[in-house]
Amino acid sequence: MMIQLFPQNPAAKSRQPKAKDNNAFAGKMPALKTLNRDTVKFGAGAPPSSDPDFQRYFEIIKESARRDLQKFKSPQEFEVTKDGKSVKIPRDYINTPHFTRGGNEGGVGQGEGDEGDEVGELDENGQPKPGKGEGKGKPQPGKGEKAEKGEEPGEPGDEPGEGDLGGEGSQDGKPDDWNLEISRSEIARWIGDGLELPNFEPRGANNIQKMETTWDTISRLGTQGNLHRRRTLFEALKRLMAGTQNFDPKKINFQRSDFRYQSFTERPIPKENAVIFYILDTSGSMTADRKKMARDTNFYLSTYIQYQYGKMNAELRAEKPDDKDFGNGVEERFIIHDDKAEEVPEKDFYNTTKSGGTKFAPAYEEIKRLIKEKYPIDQWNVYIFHYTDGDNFGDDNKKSIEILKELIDSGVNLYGYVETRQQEGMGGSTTYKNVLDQAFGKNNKFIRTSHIKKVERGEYAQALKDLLGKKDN
Amino acid sequence: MQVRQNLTFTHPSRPATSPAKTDRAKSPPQSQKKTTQLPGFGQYSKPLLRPVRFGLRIPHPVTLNRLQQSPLAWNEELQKLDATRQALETAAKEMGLDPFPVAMHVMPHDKFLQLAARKGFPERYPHWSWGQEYYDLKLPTLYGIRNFNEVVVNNDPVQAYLPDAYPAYVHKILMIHALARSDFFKNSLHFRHTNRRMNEQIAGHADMIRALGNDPAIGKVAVEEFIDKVHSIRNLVDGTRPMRDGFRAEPITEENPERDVLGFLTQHSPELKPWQRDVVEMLRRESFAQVPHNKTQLLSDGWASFWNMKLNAQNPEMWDIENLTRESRFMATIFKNDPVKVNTYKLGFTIFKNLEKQFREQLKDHPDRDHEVLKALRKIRREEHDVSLIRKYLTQDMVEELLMYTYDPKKKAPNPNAHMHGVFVPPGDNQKPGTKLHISSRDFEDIRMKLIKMYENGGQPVIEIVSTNHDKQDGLLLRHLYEYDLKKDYAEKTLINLAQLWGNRVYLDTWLTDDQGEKTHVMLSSDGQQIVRRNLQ
Repeated sequence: MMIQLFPQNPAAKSRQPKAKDNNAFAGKMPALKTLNRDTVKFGAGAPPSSDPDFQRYFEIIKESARRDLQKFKSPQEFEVTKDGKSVKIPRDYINTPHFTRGGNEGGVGQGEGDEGDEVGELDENGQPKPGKGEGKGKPQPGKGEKAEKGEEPGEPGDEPGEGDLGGEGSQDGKPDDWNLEISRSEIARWIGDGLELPNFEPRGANNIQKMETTWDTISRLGTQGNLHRRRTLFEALKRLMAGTQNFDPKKINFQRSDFRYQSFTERPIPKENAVIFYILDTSGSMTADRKKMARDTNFYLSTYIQYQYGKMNAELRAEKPDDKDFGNGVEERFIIHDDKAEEVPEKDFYNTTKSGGTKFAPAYEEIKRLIKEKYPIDQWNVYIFHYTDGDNFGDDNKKSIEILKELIDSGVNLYGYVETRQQEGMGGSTTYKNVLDQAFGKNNKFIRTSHIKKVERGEYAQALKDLLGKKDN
Repeated sequence: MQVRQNLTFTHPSRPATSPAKTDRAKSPPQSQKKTTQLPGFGQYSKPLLRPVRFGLRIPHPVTLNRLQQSPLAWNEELQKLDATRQALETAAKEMGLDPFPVAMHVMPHDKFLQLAARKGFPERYPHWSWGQEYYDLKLPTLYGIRNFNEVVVNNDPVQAYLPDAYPAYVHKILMIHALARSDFFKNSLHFRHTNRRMNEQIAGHADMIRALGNDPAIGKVAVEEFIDKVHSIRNLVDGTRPMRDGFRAEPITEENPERDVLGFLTQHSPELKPWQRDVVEMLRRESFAQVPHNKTQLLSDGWASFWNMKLNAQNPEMWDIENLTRESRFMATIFKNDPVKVNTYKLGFTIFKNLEKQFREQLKDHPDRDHEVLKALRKIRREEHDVSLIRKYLTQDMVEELLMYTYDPKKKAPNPNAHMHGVFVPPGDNQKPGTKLHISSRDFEDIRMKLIKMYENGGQPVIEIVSTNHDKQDGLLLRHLYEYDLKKDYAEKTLINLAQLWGNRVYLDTWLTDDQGEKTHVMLSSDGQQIVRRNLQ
């Protein structure tokens, strides 16, 4: 029978880190030619060269990337890294304007081909560049192609550099783009500072005491691998010196009682856990634009909450928050619904194009079930964000409000309701927002509503402010 | 071995001196500091030469800057390379080349690229654009698309920079190139007036600009922004004559225009502060140094390739038989055809090769034929520049041999099925990115004229000052001697920058091609903020 010497802390067992599929955006992004070695990191990483002018250049593009991102760039314009903790955005090439040829007068090239064959096109700077076309005017066979592909390491490339002060030779061969990596923590800080969002605070006594093990003690029990040799020798010496008058230090015999092992202690450390449910309405009335509004907002919302929890947990441990803490303690659940609801992986949440009727109640039921099964509300902070255009079936209103009331009474931290539609309710018809207001009153502490009208960066900021900002009353 | 942290272009032998340590740093305390204390205009008239250790104190004609290796291996390789260099130099001199002494520096590739981004000058004024250039050279190298192989600087002694980690046969080729270029710099008439201590002069510029940046009254950001502006007009120098100190006295008129815009601004712009004049003047000198290079790029590349062939053919003892195929493959990469550009190495080489053949025919009966042929070629190297070379010596046969054609963005390949699908492709802005380029002709005369147009004025558009009092309001009137359209958005932004430097309205008289392909005579003008476009009749 196997004896478990060091039983695992049950609390720790229940919160095994789950494999997070945070790469949902990555699948959606247009394929960028990225190799790891060409990605320049900043935040944690340093510029890849000690060249001071490169460092200055790096500062400039970093600043411009920051300004660009601060305007709530759509997540479709960049790529989220595999660990979900940072994003990659392509940099722009800085052009120095000068008087130069426009590129529309043509030029002279070399190669095979007939009149009218395509040989290339103008690049972003209006300068001709070779096309990938039909092989017209491509290099002569057998020449230069090997070196182009870099097949032979150490084999030099095509042409010697300019034998002078420079000239135009360096103009070609410019890469199309390369990427800057920005941590999502940094994005969250920009959001928080820009919108004056409040910091999250721990719930106090309600937070979970996670048991943390540290290997800092000596024990009489343990495995042979953890044998503490110095202490064992010390104990043996103690025993021998106490027992015999003249002992020979070259002849030491060990007894069972001498053995000491390295061992651990367990200390409780506080931790805040949060689960966030994102509900997306995928009914027929949610057009592509409306879904885009929802998804764009969701990226920044998720970024901010994950950052806040990571930071909070670091502070509870009395450590300095780090980029690695991003998302610590947060679990995200994604639910899409039309008139039925289902939990989906994050990827699907960002990519699904379903359509059907609209019923909210099944989605709330799903959340209720999940909370009951996995996220006991006395141990988890629960956030629900619901993106919809507000066109619920009339007969569903009553039922859904009932379930929602139950949820909120049970202790949900926040129910955020985001309406994404171009106008207010059409022709006097009421949207779900009115139903919510009627049922809970406009100033309910646990319910926040927002309305996004168009695909625009400012709108996303307003939504974040509505959902997470300080309330006046 | 201790590796210095601050590695940028510092040779191990170079003492660590702070760049701010100029005489200005010892200037009186701040309370007395006025603009008069700054390096005012006129101070520059005596160029500040700062010796660059890297260029001057060379322990050995070939330096190897490879710190990772053991000194023993280092020494061995150094000796091998230097033996190659000596053999080449002797052979070249025997065959009639007359080069400056060449200091060859072999260095790690990354460091080499940093140097190449600064156009071969180890001490260059601080500016982000070198960083961008460096990274743009570096990325294709990482991808394995292309490598940059050599930088040769017109200086006495000529400075040649080669990356290490190349096989010996590549180093041999690059060294021959460096020798041929050195000979070209020394003997070409177009380099007659160039400063042979450019390395030191540019280091002096770097010191002065760094000192300006460190000056609390100016600041790094102001200097950088100002240099950004000057960079946008730095190609506006006179390509027809060597630089003169100061500026001409006679007034600028329509009959007697002036192309040296930078020099004009230095002297006459009411807007510029003294330190700004100095910066413009320094960059003007650097631009003028670039002019002969632009004018003779084809010639110099051709000369280098020609001598590579020549030296190899005449000295079989230098052949590396084992690597002969690899060597020719490397040469093939240099001679690769480019669909949208002229490969200057190949074109120049072809011209020289054919000229040699031609001279050999002519001098068939001469007793000392070989030497006479080379002599005739050296005369061409001495006197011609790109445009004259093409004008005089390009022939139909060469064009056919090189498979040359002209291409055009406007002529679209006819799609026979277009009418069936009801597709109509509007002509569109033909400067727009993505405009397709099509082969338009293989006619010799077309190709020749287009090449001449391309190489005219070193590949830069010709823009001259016609009037300094246009509209009777101190407006600066520039005239574009039209060969081709200017790039429109660039031209507008440049004009705005120029107006800010001039401090008043600037006009540009040019032609623009519209979407339908018709040319319009236009006057662009700017007050430093906005662009006004007016059509002229």
